[in-house]
Amino acid sequence: MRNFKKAVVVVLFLVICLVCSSILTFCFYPYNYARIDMHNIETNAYDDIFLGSSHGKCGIDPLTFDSVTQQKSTNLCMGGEYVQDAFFLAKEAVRNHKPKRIIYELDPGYWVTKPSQGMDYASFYHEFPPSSVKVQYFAEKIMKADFRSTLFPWYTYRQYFFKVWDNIKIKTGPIYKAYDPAPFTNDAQAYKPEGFIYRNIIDAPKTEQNLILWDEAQLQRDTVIYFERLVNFCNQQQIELVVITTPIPNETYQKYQQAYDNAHDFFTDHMERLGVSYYDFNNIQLDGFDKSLNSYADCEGHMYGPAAEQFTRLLAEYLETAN
Amino acid sequence: MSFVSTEFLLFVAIAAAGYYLIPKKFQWMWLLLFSYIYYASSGIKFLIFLLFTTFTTYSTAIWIEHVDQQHSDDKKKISKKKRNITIIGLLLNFGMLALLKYINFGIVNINVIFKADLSFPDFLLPLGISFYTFQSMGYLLDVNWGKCKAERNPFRFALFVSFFPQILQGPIGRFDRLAHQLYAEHSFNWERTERALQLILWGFFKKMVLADNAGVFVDTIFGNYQAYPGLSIIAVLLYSVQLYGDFSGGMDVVMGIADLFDITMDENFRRPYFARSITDFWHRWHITLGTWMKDYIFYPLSLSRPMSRFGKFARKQFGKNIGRTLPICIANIVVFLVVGIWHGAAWKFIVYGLYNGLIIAFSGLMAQNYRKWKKSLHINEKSKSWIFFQILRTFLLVNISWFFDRANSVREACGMMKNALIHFNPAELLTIPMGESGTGFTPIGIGIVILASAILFTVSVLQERGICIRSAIAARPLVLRWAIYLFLVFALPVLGQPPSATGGFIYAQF
Repeated sequence: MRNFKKAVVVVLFLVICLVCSSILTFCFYPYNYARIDMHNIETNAYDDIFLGSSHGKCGIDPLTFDSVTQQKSTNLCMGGEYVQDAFFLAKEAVRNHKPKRIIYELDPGYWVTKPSQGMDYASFYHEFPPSSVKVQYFAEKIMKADFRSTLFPWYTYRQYFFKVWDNIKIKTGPIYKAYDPAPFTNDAQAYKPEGFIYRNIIDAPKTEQNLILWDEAQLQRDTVIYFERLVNFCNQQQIELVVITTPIPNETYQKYQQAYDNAHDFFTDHMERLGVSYYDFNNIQLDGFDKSLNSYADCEGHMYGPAAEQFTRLLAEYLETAN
Repeated sequence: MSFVSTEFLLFVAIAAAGYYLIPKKFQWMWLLLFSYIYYASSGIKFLIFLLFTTFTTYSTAIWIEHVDQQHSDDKKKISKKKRNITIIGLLLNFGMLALLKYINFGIVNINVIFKADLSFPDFLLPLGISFYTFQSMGYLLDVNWGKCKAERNPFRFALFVSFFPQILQGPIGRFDRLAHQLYAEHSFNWERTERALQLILWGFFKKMVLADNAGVFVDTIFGNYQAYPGLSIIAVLLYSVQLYGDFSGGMDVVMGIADLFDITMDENFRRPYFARSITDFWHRWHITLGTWMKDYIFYPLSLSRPMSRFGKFARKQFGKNIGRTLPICIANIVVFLVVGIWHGAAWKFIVYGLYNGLIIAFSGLMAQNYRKWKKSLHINEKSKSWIFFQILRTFLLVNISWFFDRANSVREACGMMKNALIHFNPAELLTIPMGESGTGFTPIGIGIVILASAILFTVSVLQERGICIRSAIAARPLVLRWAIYLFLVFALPVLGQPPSATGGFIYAQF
């Protein structure tokens, strides 16, 4: 009886902790576009799915792409999306509706770094609906993270206490329920349909502070393994996998040409070995696309909206021809 | 598998639940299984080294006991044979440790001294190798000296070497105190589980709130000390806070987890910053390493035949007092040289060890003079002001040693000490960004370090006065108790640094 009472007290304490943490998650964890992206793949059927990093998010407009291919596509790229995340996104997308093709946007920097346990670490995971894929995603990624990321998902946002009221307003209002992208529109960018981030041309310094250069010695084994799993998964599901690297500004390329050429050689060789089509647009000339810094919001390779639309059109045409 | 990961918490929960659900006679096997799963999670290849230490120690101990049981009138011969077998065991294991951990350091120095161009072998450094090697070798020496019997069951012995909570950062266990607990049958007990969880929570608080926040400043300043010349004193003070929070916090987590399995580990910390001398400090800081050194190096060395001959010689040359003290001083210097080397393969660690050894040796030599001076100055050794002076003096001496421990090299340590003497500008602290949060949150970071230090200091003072904090909390009303626990739980995410800005436990790298 005494033990039972003790157990009840412990369970009660844990419940209080859980309730407090849930309230804080509601208040601090912001509405983000991963929710809309996930909603898209849960509710629609797509022929082409784009996976990859923020370069893909800002560089590929599915609507423009579809206007050339006459298919239906969506962009699931995101800043901080590593190959491991892309693999589980592909699995989740297939669980709902199998696409014909997955186009993986490869940023070499993501292959030579480990994911930082910051705000992007579990953005997509939190939006996954309950499923076996989510359990696997948890077991293979989230479980390895600091336990605070799992038990207190709000804690990486704790410094944004001044946004709590806005978060509550959005989450209790119609925007959240309607998956409305309005809150993601500001002077710098707009969230366009099907997961494209349109970067406005604004007068801001163009930096390279987040640029990570390719260095084969730093190649992450886990990333290589997850990419092979992605390839195998696509083969099993009979989905075509195409890998692209979006172009970076000429100025950046010239400055770090050796690193980019090394990356090109490595990935050309690696993809050939895996039997995957790879198109590195740092080495492929797209007629009509201005690769100067004028087309980019920064030196790292995030395109402005108009340049992204132009690139997407040329990419679609290129892939159509290549096929 | 990091101690702070979700998978580790789940791992411990499953291990503890299963431990009490399975038949008691299988409990030690269950622990062995989980210990090996835990160790293998850091890399299957590391298991080879763990198995090597287990196998060689197990077999040499059995061999020693076999020799010991031989009926021979020639005790000297048996003793010599046992000693030779022990030396084989020691050489195999310390040899492997030296090869894996210190070979590159040796090559660097050979290359510098002889202007050679030897290349560095690409050896793996298995996690926790320093800890489990020392623990195993302690056992081997105990068997040789007849302090304990050799374990006949290789699997039971494997558990002693690999017990998962302690394998990465200690404490360094002793066979006579740990093994029987590992092999015994245990029943579940709520009070002990509650106590264990409190200890784990307190350990995480020390690590995540105190050490990690202090660590942001420490890493920035020590990483670029020339950019922050006015912060050398603050940097080393923060390092003293970080290291204590990190290491003792880690120990609390380890001891709490062991407690979940009804296993009591040896105490590794006893409020070291209240030490009144460096000797006292080493009786309170990393106690299990200190006692290991005392039992297996200091006593054998100071009682050895060459040292006793040297003592006789010294008594003749320098008089009775110095002659008696000198061998002890030399043994102390040797012990702390080994402590320094144990900490890492770098000259700064050797200087760190020698610094401690020399202070202790000097104190030993001067002990009689100190007594005379205190008497002539009418110093009351029990007065609060004298005790306070001693604590402050020791803290200062310890902090000087931390410069060597934390700086990247001896040169940088000296540079920082020089800065500490000629520059002091605490305002520079506000220019250090708090990870991704930037400098806007720096005052908050400083505030958190002060708050957490104040909490730890208060707890330490109360413990030093003999007050058991957990009993004191348990005697309070439920609301207050829960408020304290909720504060500790939510302090981890609210006040702790995000993992992207921090590293793992410092001593897990040894």
